Amino acid sequence: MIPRFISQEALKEWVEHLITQFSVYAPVQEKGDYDFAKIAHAEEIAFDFDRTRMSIKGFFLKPEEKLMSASASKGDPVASSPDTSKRIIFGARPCDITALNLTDNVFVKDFYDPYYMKRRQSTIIIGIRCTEKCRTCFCGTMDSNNPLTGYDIMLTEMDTGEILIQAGSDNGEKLFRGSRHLTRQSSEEDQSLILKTFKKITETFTPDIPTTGLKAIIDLGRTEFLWKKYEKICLSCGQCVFVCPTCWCFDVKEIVGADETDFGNLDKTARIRRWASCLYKDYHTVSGGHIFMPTVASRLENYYKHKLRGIPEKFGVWGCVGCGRCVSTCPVGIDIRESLKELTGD
Amino acid sequence: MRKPRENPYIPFDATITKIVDLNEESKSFHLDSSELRKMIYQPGQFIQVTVYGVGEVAIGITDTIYDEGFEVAIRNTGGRVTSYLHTMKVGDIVGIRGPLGKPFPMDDFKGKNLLFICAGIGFWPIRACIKHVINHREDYGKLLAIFGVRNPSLFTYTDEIESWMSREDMKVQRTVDSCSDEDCWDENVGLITSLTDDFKPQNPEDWIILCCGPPVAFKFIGESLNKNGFNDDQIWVSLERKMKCGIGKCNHCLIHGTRYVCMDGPVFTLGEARDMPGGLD
Ligand code: SF4
Ligand code: FES
Repeated sequence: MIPRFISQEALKEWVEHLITQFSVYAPVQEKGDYDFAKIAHAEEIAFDFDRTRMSIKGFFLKPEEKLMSASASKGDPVASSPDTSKRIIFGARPCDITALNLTDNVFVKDFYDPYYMKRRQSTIIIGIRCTEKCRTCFCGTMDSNNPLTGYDIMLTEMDTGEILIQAGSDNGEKLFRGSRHLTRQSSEEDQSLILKTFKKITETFTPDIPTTGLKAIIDLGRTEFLWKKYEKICLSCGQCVFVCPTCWCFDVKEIVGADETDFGNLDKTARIRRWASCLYKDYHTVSGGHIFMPTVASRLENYYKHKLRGIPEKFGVWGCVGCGRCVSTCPVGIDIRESLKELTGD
Repeated sequence: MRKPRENPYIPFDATITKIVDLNEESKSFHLDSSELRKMIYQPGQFIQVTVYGVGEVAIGITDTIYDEGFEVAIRNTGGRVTSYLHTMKVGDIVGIRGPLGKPFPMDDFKGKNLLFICAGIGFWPIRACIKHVINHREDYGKLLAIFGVRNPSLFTYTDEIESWMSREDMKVQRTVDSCSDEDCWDENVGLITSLTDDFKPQNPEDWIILCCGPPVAFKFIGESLNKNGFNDDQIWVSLERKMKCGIGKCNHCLIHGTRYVCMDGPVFTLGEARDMPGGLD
């Protein structure tokens, strides 16, 4: 599709139209921060949001979900089916879309995860490109401000306030087809405006922390000092993991009496999965009491190395998208931007 | 083989058909079901056993496809799942997922002499290798198996070990860490390394060593073998970690941020394991 333009007013009209067909989730202002919520009117959208408190990962990897139910005595496991009604996430940020591209890979590679993927396939992603840095942004460094896939539509606000619409998929194109009257075609004269805006965006998001050589530094083991330093303050609270768009650690548990239609029937069992954190000690504790990563330093090392070494090796991208949510949430002020500088600085 | 779009989190059912006491803390469970009969597995791989409503536990495969039925050997570690399993009866149902993980590359070892080192219940996964090799005896050279346990009462599958002892084409050595006066025996007493220290064949490069047991033991066994001219890439070990998904998703078994024991392992060369800090913890 040739990019088209839409005015801010017409965009709201279009969203109103989408709400009549889909469940639409968008950033709203809540408790002094922004978060995604289901909206009933375009008016509710906090268009001035920089980034949301939580990323969009919870739409696909739910904080808690039932994977299956079974009978304790007879077995007969039955897989749960995730809700696959069509929905739209409006206002996903480029870094979150980059993270989504990574987790999409994680959940199809080798073994296909039907829970994640079914939700993913029933969700339309409308991205809004950042034109300014958010409060903790270093996405330029982590190369995540310009995802090439993972969205159905990308919106970019031009200097003039008008919004450029680019389709990223057939679904995205289809979505616009019925509402073309709300948009206008881009013309020859718009080209310089588009180029100017994108140039400015590129300049805003040039990398500001050196990452070249990070792999060698990690492989050489020149990292010990950092874990030792953070070990003294990190609480192992795991908040940084929960807000991280690229953390997908989970726990799997069996429970009994969990059937909501037959509550308390102890023959009815369920397999539950829920978010977990590799920074917790019990995450590495096996029956008999042995702990595989007993120290905070060993767990922080595993966490950072997965993001900066393991994920790049396996998936070809950083395991950090530079949103800085961990920086905002960490109660003791551990800052991954500072960590990177300490690692690659001399 | 698993179909690509099958749900990898859902087990299939199997019925317990027979339970055998292996020693004071371990039992072997014979299982059967139509799905289980179709399961193709190789030595070194593992399965996840579900006790519905209680939990799931990763168990190294001790069985081979060369005999009837399927059995899993389980030590009661005192944890939720293994202690519950030890109360289960013939006719009870468990769930199985697998086979999971990479097997020992037995084909790559063809033409080599093999040393099996079985520390404690590390014997069980090695048992699958030994049975495999005996079934393809002509493919492999000399065979030596070393078994070590804390005290004589802890040996398992003694009949099998003794049948291997009586074979012409295989040597077996057994040792116990210690034994009390009443139940002591006339074979070796001392750590496994007391036997590996004396293992000095003419051409160490012709040997492959398969070693299972507690990872801390690998350090000492490795040192002992290194001294006798074996390098870390000839020594294969099976690592243990906390496991949940078994399919490379949940990150529980991730070592050093880079290797998944459930997918990249559980078998690694000692060289690979040493390259992952904490790998041998
Ligand atoms: S949020 Fe901060 S204190 Fe909590 S686990 Fe993460 S780094 Fe440690
Ligand atoms: S057990 Fe889940 S990733 Fe290995």
